[in-house]
Amino acid sequence: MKKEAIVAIVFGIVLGSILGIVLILKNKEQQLAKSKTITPLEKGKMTSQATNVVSQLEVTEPGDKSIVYKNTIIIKGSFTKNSLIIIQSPIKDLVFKNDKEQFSVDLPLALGENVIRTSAYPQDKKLRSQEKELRVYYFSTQL
Amino acid sequence: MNKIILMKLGLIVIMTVLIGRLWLSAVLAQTGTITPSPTLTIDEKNIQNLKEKIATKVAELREKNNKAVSGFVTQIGDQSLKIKDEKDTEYEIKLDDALTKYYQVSGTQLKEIKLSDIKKGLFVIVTGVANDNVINANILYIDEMFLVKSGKITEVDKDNFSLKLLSSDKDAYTLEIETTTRQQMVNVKTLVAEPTGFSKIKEGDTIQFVVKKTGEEKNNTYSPTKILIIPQEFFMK
Repeated sequence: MKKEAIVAIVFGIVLGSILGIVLILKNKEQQLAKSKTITPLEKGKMTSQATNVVSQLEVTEPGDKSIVYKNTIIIKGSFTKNSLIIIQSPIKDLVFKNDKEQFSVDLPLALGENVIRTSAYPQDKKLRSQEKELRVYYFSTQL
Repeated sequence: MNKIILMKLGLIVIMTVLIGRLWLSAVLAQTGTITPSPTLTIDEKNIQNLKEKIATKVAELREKNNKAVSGFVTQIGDQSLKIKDEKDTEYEIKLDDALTKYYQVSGTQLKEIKLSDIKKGLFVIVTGVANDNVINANILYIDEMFLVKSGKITEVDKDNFSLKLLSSDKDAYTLEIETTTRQQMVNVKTLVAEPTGFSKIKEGDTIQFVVKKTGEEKNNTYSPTKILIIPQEFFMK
């Protein structure tokens, strides 16, 4: 075998090895980058995320444009606990702090249309307040 | 010998009786022609139950379709009228001489009125069967319209006792506070609504208010029946 041929084979093996090592390293980096998403968060970060979770203001009862034949209704809803909840209608204002997420209060009704606005102001002042409006029609008897 | 014959005969009789009974019950089950009287009573009960169920379902459907809409009367026609609700949605109200009743909401009482009492510009509530934006009116009530809104105070005019504010719906309102206006403020420490005075209201406070809408207001200026202030200190805690 000629000397040039041996040099070429050795050179080929060295170059191939270098290329192989580079490719393996690159592949590892890519795999690490992909697996970052499932790396658990630090304790502090997790706590701050949990406290920022805010629920949507829900008013489950009564339904909008309900017709009722009793002069009181129960307003049922839910929102982040320890928020300031204000339920306002033309004849009554209810102001309270919800100790639990769920709240349920009695509201007197006026004869005819009752516009009821429920506003919720969270304890965490960085969070936005939310509100819902509904109409309830109260008639004294089923005519 | 005789005994064997007798036993055979007995066996044949028993077999015949058994086969006969089986055949009879099969025929009865298929045709049902010889139905005993207790089955009739059960059928009648079932029919009665079915009737009751249908009646309940019909009542439920009628109740479900019985809708209420409200708005200002924009047009009065022959046996119909048009109203526009707070979102400017137009409804056609179909009236029936024999069916539709008319009432005026007067405090805690309902006073019966006539169709001729319904005028353009009045606020009415209509209940009846709805089909999209067409309501076949059962009852029409004349009532007062109230707005219940909230917003942020942008200006306090201490000379004219008025407040300018931007509502959460991004509408600008001017509230002229009267001596009759019920004024309350949320106590930041106790979160209880307490009576307050105009002098304690500041720019930047949050306000919840109730106004009576007549439809003749200009520039969104109202005299509120009541206001509830949430001081800005509440949001700084």
